[in-house]
Amino acid sequence: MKLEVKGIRKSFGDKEVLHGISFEVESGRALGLLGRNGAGKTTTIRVLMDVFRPNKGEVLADGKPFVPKEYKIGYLPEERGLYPQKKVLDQMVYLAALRGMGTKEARESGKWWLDRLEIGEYADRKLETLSKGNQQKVQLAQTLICDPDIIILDEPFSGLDPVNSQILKDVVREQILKGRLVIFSSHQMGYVEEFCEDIAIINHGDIVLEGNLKGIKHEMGMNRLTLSAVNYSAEQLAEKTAAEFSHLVRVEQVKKNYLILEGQCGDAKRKLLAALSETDIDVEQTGMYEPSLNDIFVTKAGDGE
Amino acid sequence: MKQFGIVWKHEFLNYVKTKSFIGITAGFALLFVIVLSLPSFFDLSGLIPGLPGGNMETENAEMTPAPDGGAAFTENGNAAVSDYEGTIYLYDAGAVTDPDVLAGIFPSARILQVSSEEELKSLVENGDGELMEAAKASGEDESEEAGGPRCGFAVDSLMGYRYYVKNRSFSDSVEGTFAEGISYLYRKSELEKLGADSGTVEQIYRFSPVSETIVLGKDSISNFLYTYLLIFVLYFMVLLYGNSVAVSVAQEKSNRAMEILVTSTSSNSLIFGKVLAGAAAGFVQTGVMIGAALVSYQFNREAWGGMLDFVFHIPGSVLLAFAMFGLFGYILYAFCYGVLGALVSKTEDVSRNAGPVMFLFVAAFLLTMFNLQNSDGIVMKVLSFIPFTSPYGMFVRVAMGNVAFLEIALSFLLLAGTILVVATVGAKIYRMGTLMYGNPIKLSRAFKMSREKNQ
Repeated sequence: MKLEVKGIRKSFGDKEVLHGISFEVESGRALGLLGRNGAGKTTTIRVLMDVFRPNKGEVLADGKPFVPKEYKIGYLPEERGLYPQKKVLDQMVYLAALRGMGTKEARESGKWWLDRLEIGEYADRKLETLSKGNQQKVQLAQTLICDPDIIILDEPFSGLDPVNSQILKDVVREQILKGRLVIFSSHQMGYVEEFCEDIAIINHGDIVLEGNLKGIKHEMGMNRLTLSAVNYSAEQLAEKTAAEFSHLVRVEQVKKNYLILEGQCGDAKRKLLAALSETDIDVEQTGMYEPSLNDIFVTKAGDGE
Repeated sequence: MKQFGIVWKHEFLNYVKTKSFIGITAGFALLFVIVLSLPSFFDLSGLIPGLPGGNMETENAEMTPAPDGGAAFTENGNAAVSDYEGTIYLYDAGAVTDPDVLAGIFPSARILQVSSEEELKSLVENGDGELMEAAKASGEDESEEAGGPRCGFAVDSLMGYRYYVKNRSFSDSVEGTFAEGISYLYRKSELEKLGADSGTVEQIYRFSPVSETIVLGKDSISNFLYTYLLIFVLYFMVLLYGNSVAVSVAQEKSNRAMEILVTSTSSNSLIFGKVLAGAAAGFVQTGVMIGAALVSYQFNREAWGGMLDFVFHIPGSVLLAFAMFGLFGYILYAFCYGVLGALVSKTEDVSRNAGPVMFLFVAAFLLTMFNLQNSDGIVMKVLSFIPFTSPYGMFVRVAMGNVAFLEIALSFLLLAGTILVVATVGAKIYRMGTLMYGNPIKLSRAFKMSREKNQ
């Protein structure tokens, strides 16, 4: 299945909060939907799930209008929401029944998922008696109980310790391998890089970057080099480079231990290495620069944008 | 529809599975059954006067002590006979009172003559020293009332007297009884002056005809109490369950279960399921309690001698009107409460936001109560057609007044139509309000937003 979000605009009163959001995601792949707090991610997800109707734009599934009711969707909201005073399995069965599952089937599936997430012994306990991490796992079990075609995970790793994070990572990978369509929203860029082949960055209600993550990294790293020296600090190296090689490279960023340089001519890397060998600079490391997702996010969604 | 059923069942079980629901419902039902069945198993005529199976002769004997001089006054049991058991100090300056009459109307009291009004005043205020000492010696009460309650009368003539009492109780009837006795003595004296036989005249005056009332329509006197009680039942049901609906909606917002719910089912299923489950739970609880009382009384009516008919012998038409208008009125208010619950993010804000609905509901209740004795008046007629007041108004008119079937049908249709409008608008506001967090949303703003497209 291919899910396409096309030119979604959404206003509340006189204020437009989404200004034409577009992205697409396919089954068996995960999309990282990124953005700062209040950028419009949750509103986009709600439009996708038909909780809000867009003022303009459309959501298509394989080219046809997407009707959420016709698909099994598992949604893990950022704001965790379950009934604290109800028994774990009972509320999972209730929510699964609302999504079309039979009670018996839901109970069996619920037990299976609780066991899979290693919290089977809490099935008959009230949710509020569980630790935060285990409540988070119940929330995930609730998301997956109906064996969804589309899985939307909003900050699934918050509150989990490293062991539980590993369990969750395994589960998410399994789901992607099983051909599920996953939309993954998180501020923990490491997880996004691990799972998502594609990303879409929303900033102030606009898509500021969208596409294949590898391609984006390659494109953003094109004609950029990294350089570090044994006998110069990053600042000293930046000064020397700016003074002596400005015809070849421009110092774009000074990191803690290295520089990011932008080539100013066609064969900048080769020419720079040749020029460096003529100086007293003892090169520690140099290579093509590939930005991290964190760098991409800060560049695209930071205040400078 | 299936999802509505799932929400309804979930919410309904949430109400009825709680210990408080089961405890209150079963407890009250059992209490009604036990209390109302008691006369069938035990002779309670000694405790409850008028209950069949008692010894009426004893009662009559108590009512008519009839000492010689007061016989004409007390023998028919018409005169007031006081059960006052204290001391009455009497300062009778003109010796105009008749000790026999006073003994007749105060059979249990100790009547003591004193020689001056000052002495009487002092005795009433401070008590009789000897009596007080005796009381203390015997280890009795050492309070101000030691030696028993006391009061006094300073009689100038049969035309007037002064009543002395230290602390007058709310139920003090001594003075009233004494006044009747003095009046009787005055009548007797005046009639004797005219040469008439006061005993005969007294009997003539105290004659009361044997009568029987046959009500062919509705008897407001006997309908009053159960109508009054059923109005209270509806009042408390709406207040308790309406508030529960609002709290339940607000809770789902505050614990963010709403995030999952709105993406799992339609907002219409949620609000309709919640409101109607609350309505059903309220009616089950009320129905079980009232039903237990009515059925139990019906089985034991003979043992009660029909003396509680004015509470428990409710005609079917009145119960039907209560069920129909009560249920629909409850649903109307429950929708309002549900919508208000969706406009707040914290359960503690519910009561503040529910103010306008509560005000409307209490106003409807008070207006009905103030006009309860004028069930065919213009105010009640108006109240019986306004949907927010008709659950009370039309019910009262059916129970106590004259109302045509067409009027009932019209009022009911208006109520049902209003529920439809409120439910439609309410569902829109609910849909919009459930995902808006932060400060409570004003109702006016909610209406405005509900009219916008694409919500």
